[in-house]
Amino acid sequence: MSRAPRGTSRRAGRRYADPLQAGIRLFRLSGRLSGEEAHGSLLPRTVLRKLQQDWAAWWERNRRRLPPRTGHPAASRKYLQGYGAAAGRDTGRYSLFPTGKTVGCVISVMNECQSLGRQLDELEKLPFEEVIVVVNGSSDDSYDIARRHPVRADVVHFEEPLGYDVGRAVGARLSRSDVVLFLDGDMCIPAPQLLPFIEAAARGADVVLNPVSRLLPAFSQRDAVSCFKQFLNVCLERSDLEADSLTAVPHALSRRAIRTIGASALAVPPLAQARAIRCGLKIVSSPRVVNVLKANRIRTCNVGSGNPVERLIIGDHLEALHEMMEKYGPRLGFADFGRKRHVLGRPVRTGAQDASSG
Amino acid sequence: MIQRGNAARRKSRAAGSRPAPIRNAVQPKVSVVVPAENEKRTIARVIEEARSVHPDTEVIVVANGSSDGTASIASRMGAYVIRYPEPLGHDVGRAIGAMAAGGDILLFTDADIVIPAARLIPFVHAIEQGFDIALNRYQGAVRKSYVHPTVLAKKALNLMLSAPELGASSLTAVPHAISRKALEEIGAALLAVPPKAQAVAASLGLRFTQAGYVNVGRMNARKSSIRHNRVKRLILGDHLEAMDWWIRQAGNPRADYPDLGRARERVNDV
Repeated sequence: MSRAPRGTSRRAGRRYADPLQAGIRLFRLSGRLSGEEAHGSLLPRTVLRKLQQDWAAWWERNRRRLPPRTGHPAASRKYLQGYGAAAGRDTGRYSLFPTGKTVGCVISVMNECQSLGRQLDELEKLPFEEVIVVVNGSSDDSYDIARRHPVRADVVHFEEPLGYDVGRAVGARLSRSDVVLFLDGDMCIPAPQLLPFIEAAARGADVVLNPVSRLLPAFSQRDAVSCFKQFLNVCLERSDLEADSLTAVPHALSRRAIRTIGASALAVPPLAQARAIRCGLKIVSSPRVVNVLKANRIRTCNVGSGNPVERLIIGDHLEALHEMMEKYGPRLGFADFGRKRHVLGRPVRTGAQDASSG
Repeated sequence: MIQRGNAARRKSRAAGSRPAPIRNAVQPKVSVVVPAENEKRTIARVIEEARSVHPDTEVIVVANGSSDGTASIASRMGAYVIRYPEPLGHDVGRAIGAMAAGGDILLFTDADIVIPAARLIPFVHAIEQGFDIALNRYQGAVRKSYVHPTVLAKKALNLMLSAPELGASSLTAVPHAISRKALEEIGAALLAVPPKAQAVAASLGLRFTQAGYVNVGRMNARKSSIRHNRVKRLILGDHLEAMDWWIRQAGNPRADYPDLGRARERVNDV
C-alpha cells in the first residue's frame, strides 16, 4: 500500500486532510519561537493570531476534506495539538475561530478588579485580533490589572465614570476588527461560552444577541425591563427575538453593524437595537444562552422595581421609540384600520400636539 | 353565584321570550355606552343588564354599520340609539356615546358580551367612591410564557405612566367606567383612542383604580383570525400613539426618565 501524501491521512481508502499534520507543519514553517516568546508556557498573542490566520486559511481549503462528522472544534483541537507537540507547548487551553474574519473584544470596566483579571484570563485563550478594555471612573486596581495582564489589551482610561454603556460605544469606536464581541467587566464568562457568538457572526450575522428570553419567568412575573425589551422588538416587527436585546451582554456586532448603527448609539443599547432592526441588519440570537441574570452583581441601584437602573432602561426604550416615531410616524405603521376619527367633529390627530382637552 | 343568577333568570323566562324592554332614567346618574355593529344575538340582554346597574341609568347604544337589525332591537328595548349607517371603526362608538351621555358616571361595555349587572356594579361604585377611572383587573393570559402583544403593550404603557400596580389593565378593555370630570378633562373624542386617553388621564393626575375582575377573554373567543390580527395591530399602534403623545408633552425624548449622567460626548473624544 502506498503512503498517503504528506498532510493527509488514509482512512477507509480515502485521503482526508489532516489538521494535526497541518499544525506541525505551521510550527516548522514559522520557525522556533523567538527569544521573548520562548519563555513561559503560554503562547503570546502575536503567535496565537498567526496560528489563527493560518488555521483559518487551512480550514477554508480543507474543511470538506475531513472525515465525516469532524466539526470545527475537533479539527481545530487537532491542529493546536500538532503545533503544541512540535513547539513543546501545552496548547490545550486555546480555541480557534472558524473564520478568517478578525475578531475583537471590547470590555467596559468601572470597579471590577475581582472579575476583570479572570475575564482577561479567559479572553487570552482566544485568538482575538484586539482586546480593548475601557476603564472609567475606577477607584480600585482595574486599570493596573488591565494594563499588566499578559493578554496585552489596548487599555483606554477615563478618570471619571462615563455612565452606563458609554464604554461599549468608546470601545466600538476604537475597534478595527471585522467582528466585535462586547462584554461587561462585572462578570467572568468562560471562553467556550463566548464562541457561539463569534461563530454566528462569522456565519454572516450582523448582530448576535444573548437569548436571555429563555431564562425569563412567566409573563406575569417579569420585570419592567424585560417587558420593554420585548415591546420594542414587537413594535419593530421582530417578535421572534422576544426579549433579546443589545441591552444584555454578551453580544457581537459586525463591522457593518457598528458602521450602520453608529458607535455613539451603542451608548443607548435600545436605540442601537431599534436602528439595527430598522436598517435591515441581520439580527440573530446566539444558539447558546449565557446566564448573565444570576451573575449580575447586585447593587443597590439595580434591585427592586422602580430602581434607578430600571428607570434608565425605560428611558432608553422611550428614546429609541421616539427616534423611530420621528422617522416612521407615531404609530410606526400599525394602522388604526377603519377608524373614522373624522366623525368626532373635533379632530383626534395622530401626532400633533393635542390640546389638554383632547 | 352569578351563574345561578343568570340561570334563574333564564328559567323564569318562558322559552323563546325576550328580555323586557327597559326605561331609561330621565335624569340619569349612570350612562352606559354600548357600541354595537351586528350583535342581534346579545344586544337585548346586554341592554337589560346595563339598565340594572343603578336605579337612575340610561343605556346608550351606538349602532354603527348594523345590518342585522341590532339597531331596531336596541330601539325596541328602550335604549337611546344613535345610528350610523357605516361602521365607525374601533372605539369611535364609545366617543360618540360619551358625547351624548348625561350621567355623572359613564360605564362602557361591549355589545357582544353579556356581563351580568352584578359584575358591572363595582365599576360604578368605584366612581361613586371618588375614583376617576375604574378599570378591569383582568390581565389577559399572563400565566404562560407566551406573551400576547396587546397585553405587553398595555403593561408597557402603565410602566411608562409610573403605574405598575395597574399591570395590564387598560381603557382598551371593557368594562370600565369614568367620572364626568374625567370625561370633561380628557375630552370625549379622545376615548376613540383608549390608550391615549389613558395617558392623558395620567398626565392630568386623574385617579385610577382596578374595580373588578371580568374575564372578557373567555367570553370573547369567537372573532375571526384576520380581524383578530388587525385588532392586535391597531391596539399596538394605539399604544405607540399614546407613548408618542406622552413623550411630546414631556418635551424630551426620554420623557424625563433619567440618563444617570451618561457622558455621551466622550465617545467622540477617542
